[in-house]
Amino acid sequence: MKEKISRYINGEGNKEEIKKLLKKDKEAREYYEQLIKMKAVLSDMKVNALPGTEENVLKKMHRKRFRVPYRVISFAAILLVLFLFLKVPGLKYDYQLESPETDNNVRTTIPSENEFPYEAAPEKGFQGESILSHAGFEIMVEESEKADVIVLLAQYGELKGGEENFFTYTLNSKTLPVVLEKLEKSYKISNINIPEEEGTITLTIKIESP
Amino acid sequence: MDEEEIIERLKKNDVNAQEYIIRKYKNFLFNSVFHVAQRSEVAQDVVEDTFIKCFKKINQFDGRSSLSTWLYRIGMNTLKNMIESEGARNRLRDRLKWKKDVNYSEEQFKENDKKKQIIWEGMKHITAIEREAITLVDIQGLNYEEASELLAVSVGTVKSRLFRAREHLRKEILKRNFFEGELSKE
Repeated sequence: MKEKISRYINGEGNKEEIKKLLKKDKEAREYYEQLIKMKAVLSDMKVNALPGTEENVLKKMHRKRFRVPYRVISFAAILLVLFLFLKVPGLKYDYQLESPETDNNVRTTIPSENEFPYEAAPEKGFQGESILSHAGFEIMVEESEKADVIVLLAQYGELKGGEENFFTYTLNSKTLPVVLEKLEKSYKISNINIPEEEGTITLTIKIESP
Repeated sequence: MDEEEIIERLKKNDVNAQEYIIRKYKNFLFNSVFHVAQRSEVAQDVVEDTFIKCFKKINQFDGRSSLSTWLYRIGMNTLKNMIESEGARNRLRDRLKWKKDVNYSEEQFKENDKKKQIIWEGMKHITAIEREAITLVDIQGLNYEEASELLAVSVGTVKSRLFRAREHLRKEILKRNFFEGELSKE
């Protein structure tokens, strides 16, 4: 009975049959009235979307996003690195300095086999690293050569300190090239940067005992 | 504008067509979601998400159903996902399972409209499926066929579902004296 009444409310079912039922059955009539009242309130419970729905949706939909493909970013990064490290005029790094003729800051001499006395290049300042990061450099001198080298350094440099077997001299931008030129005849010296006009560099002589 | 033309324009990301669709269906969608979720802010979020999904996926619309049906299903799935999602679970699941007593505070209805408040309270105590049937037929005024298309069930299922929902709701509002005294007088 109830289901028939429920459908009747929506225009379904046999109208005559339901009308008869409602006339003679009080319970059915009461049920029908309750549904009608309930439906009347329900049909008035329509609500509206909040204002600004269109704007919100369209704004989200057409929001401009900064999208750069990963490949483009990678390529740009590589270009930047290449530009900074290889192409900037005036900026040169040790690994770029191959020819002493093209760079005044580099002195590379390779002694001949017969040259006297040959010493391996001192560790600091001679391994292709910028001298700018080091306080100075050192060379090993044989006992027999000690006097000559000390005379040379005493002439051009300033004694900073020393003991029996090593001496440290300070050289500046003017004296260093002169000293190096003379020392290069007997020692392998490379990658020594001339200090700035005001700057100095230390040269340590270690005496090699016979 | 007929629906085919609108769909073609939507596929071209036409802003005017999008605005037209939002204006046309926003209240229908909002009502559907609002009475099931029983929260206006959730309903609003779902409606906006639904339109965005619709516009983004319009190329997948195959025309087997009407655009409104497609929108409705996207909307209900969005609501379902929102309920299932971690953030909304605690807030909404309880509400849909009627475990918590939620104060009536929706601004959509007049506070002094006692009948609506009683119905609203009663709706909290019926299932989400029953709420959905009542919303479509009794609140939105759709016929059985339209409701069956939206719900993707047979007309017979809609009828029986609606009958159970009404019966359930009637009992709930009966407990709250909806039909007695002054309240029962129109």
